[in-house]
Amino acid sequence: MTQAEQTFQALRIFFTGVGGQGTLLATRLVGEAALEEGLPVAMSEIHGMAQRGGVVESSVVVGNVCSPTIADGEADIVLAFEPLEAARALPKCHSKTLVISSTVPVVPFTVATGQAEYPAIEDLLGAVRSRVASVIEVDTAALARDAGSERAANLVMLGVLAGTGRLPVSMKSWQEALRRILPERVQEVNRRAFQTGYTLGREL
Amino acid sequence: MSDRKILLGNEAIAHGLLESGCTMATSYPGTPASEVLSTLVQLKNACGLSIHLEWSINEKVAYEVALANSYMGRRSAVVMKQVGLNVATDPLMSSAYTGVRGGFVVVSADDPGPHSSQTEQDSRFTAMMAKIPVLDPASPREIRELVRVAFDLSEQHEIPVMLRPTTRVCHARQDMEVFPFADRKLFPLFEKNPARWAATPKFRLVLHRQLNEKLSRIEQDSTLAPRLVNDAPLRTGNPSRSRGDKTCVVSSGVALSHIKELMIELGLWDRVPLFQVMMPFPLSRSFIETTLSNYDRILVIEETYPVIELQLRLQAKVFGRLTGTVPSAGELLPEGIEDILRGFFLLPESDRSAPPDIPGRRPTLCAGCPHRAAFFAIKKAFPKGIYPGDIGCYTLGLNLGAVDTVLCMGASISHAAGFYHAFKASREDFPPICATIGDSTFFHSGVTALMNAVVQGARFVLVILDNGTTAMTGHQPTPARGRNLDGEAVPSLSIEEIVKACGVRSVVEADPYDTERLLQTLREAGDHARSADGGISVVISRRPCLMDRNRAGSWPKFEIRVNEKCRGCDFCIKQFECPALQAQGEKEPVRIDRNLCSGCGVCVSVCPHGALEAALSG
Repeated sequence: MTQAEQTFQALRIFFTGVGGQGTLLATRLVGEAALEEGLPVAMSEIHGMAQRGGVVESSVVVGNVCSPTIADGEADIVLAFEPLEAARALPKCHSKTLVISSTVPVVPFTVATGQAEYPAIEDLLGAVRSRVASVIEVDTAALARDAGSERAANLVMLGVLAGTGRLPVSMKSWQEALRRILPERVQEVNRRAFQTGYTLGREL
Repeated sequence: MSDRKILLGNEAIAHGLLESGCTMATSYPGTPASEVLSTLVQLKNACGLSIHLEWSINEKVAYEVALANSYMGRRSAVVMKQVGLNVATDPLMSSAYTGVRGGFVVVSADDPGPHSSQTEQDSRFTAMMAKIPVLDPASPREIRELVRVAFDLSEQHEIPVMLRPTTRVCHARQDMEVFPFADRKLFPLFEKNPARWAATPKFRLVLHRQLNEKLSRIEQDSTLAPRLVNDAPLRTGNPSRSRGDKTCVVSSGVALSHIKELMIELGLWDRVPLFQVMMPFPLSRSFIETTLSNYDRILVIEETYPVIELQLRLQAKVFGRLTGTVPSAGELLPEGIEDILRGFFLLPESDRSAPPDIPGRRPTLCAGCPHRAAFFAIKKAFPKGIYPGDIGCYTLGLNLGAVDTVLCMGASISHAAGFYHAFKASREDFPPICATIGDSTFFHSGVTALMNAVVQGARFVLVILDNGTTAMTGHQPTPARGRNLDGEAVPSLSIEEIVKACGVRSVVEADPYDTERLLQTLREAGDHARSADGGISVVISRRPCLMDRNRAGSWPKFEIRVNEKCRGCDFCIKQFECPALQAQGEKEPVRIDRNLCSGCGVCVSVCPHGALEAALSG
C-alpha cells in the first residue's frame, strides 16, 4: 500500500453534463491522474445513445471500494458541466458535497419546442447552494475562450477541480495524465484551459 | 513482469483474451460490447500478434467463423451484445451439442436499464437454454481473470462457455495489473469426425447425452462453486440475527459490488452471510442443497432475470424477483438495492430526497448529421406516410416524427412489406410507406428482408442511410470499406449492386445535403412504387458521418446567418431539431451556435420564410 493509499479513505466524484461536452474525457483524466499518484481508482460511464445530446453521467471513485457507481447521497464532489444538470444531480449530494458547476446553459429541445421552460440559472444554482456545503460557479465558455477554444470547457472544469486540492493528486501527476491521454493536436489549448481553471480553483 | 493500468471492462476482456492465447476473435459492434474488438485491434497492431480479428457482417456469422477456429484446437472468442446473441442463437444451440476443441468463449454483454438496447433480456437464460456454462463477473478486474477461467473450462470439457458482463462492468474502469500476452502459434489441425462435426439427428441424441454429462461434471467443480464473501467478518462479528431466523444473501455480477458496500453501511456485513455466484448456470447442486437446508430465508439479488433464483428449488425460502422482493424490471442501482436490503432486514427506510422537477433532456442527432437532412426530406415528400425505422443513430429520427416503428435489426424492411400487404389484402389504397435503414444494419439483416419483400411483390420506398460506417457504436467499418482489419485490400461490397441483385429495379443515389434534389428523388421513388410495373424503390442517401475521424472528408462549409425575416416561429427547431439552432423565446429570432454549427447549410432550405442565409465561409 502506498503512502497516499494509507492516509486516504475514499472520495467519490460524480460527473454530469450533456453529450458532446467531453465529460467522459474529463472523467478519464481524473482517473489516470489518480493512478499516476498511486491511488486505487474505479470509474463508471455509459456509452451509446445517451452520448448523442442526452444527459451523460459518469463517476470516479478513488480509494479502496468495490462499487464504481455512486449512490444517492454519496457524492463528495459533483462536477456539473451544465447548470440544469447540476440541479438534476442534487440527489447525489450530501450536506458536505462540493459542487463545481458551469454557468453556461445547454438548452434542451423540450424547452426549445415550448414543452418545458428552462429555469433561471440563479434559481438552479441557488437550489444547489441551499443544500450543499459549497458551490463553485464557473463561466466555462468565457474561460475556455480566453484559453483558445470554447471546446476546451471540460479542461477548465477539470483545472478548477485540481486547483481546489480536494483530490490528493500533485500537479506533476495531473500534467502526466494530460500528456498521456490528450491527442497531440489539442494538447496546448487544453493545457492552457486546465491552467486557467487551476488558477481559479486555487484562488477560492 | 507486469504493469499497472486503468482498463475499461471491455479492454480488460481484450487483455484477458490475449493473455490466454486467443488466436481468433470475431464480433459485430453493439453497445455495451463494442470496445472489446476495437481494443484487440489496437493491441494486435501495437504488439504484432498473430491473431485473426474481424468485424463480421452479423453475430451469427461471427459465431460460426470463430467456432471453426476452435474445431481446430485453437482458442477463439466471439463478442456481441445480448440482442446480438439472439441473432447467433442458431449456431449457439447447435454448437453446445457438437462441443468445441480449442477453448471457445462467447462474450454476450447485457444491458440492464436498458441504456442502449431494445430489451433487458438476460443472456444467462440463453446459456441455460443452450445448456452451456455461464460466468457472471462483478468488476473489470474480475472479468479479466474470468476470461482465463472460461478458456480453461471450455477446453477441459469441450463446451462453449459464456461470459456475461453487464453495462456497468463493460463500461466501468478499474486499475489492475496487466500481464504479457501469450502469442500461441498453434498449428490449425482439423481432425475429421462426421459423427460430431456433421452429426445427423441420430448422432445428435448421443451428443445431447454427452452434453448433459459435461454439465454434470461442471456443476460439481468446486472451484466454480459459489463462495462466501464475508467469511472473516462473520467469524469476528456479532452472530445475533435481526429476527432470530437464519438468513443469507446470494448475488452475482455488478450487484454484488454494490451489496458489499451497502451491507457494511447498514451493519449487516458481520452478521449476514453473502454468497457470490461466479457461475449462475449450472448452479452447484451442493450449494443449492446446503443453502436450502442451512437458511430459512434466502435473498437473491441478480441482474436481470431470476436465473439463480429459479434454480434454488424451494420457493418458500427464496426471496427475489419472483416474490416481488426485487423489482422485476430495471437496472439494480445502489439506491434500489439499499431499499431491498432495508425492506428485507426490517431496517428503517432511508430518507432520500426526491429528484428536482426540471426539464428532461433527450438524445438527438448531431449538428450537421446527414440523417437529419434525409428525415426532413422524407417527411416533406410523404407527409401522410408510415415510416418503419431501424436500429442505429437514425432511430433518433423518431424525435423528428420520421420513425414510427423500431423492433430489431432489419425489421424496417419486413415491416414496410407487412404494412403494404395488409392494405393490399384489404383491397384498400395504401398510404406512402417509407422505410429507413442504415448501411451497416442493411448488411447485417436487411438483405434477406429485401429479397423477401421483392419476391412477395411489396411496394414501398426504402431509404438506405449510407454514412459509410457503424456510427452509433464508435465507427466500426462496414463491408463496403474495402480493407480488412490488417489494412489489406479486400473486395468492397456495393449497396447498389446488392440492391439490384435482390431484384429491385429502381435504385437511385442522392446527397442528403441537397434537400431539393433529394426531395425530387423521393417523390419519383414514391411514384415508381405505385406505377404499373413498380415495386420497391430504393433511395441511397449517401454522406459520410461527420464524427467519423477515419473519413475526415471536407465539404464546402457555409456560414449561416439569421436575417430580419426570422419572426421566431421556431419551425426549424420543431421540424429539424438541429442542436446548433437555438430558440431565444417567443417571437425572438433563432440564434446559431457557432461552436455546434457544422456549416452543412441544410437549414437554409428548411426555413419556409427564407430567414436563414448561407455564405461560403473561407
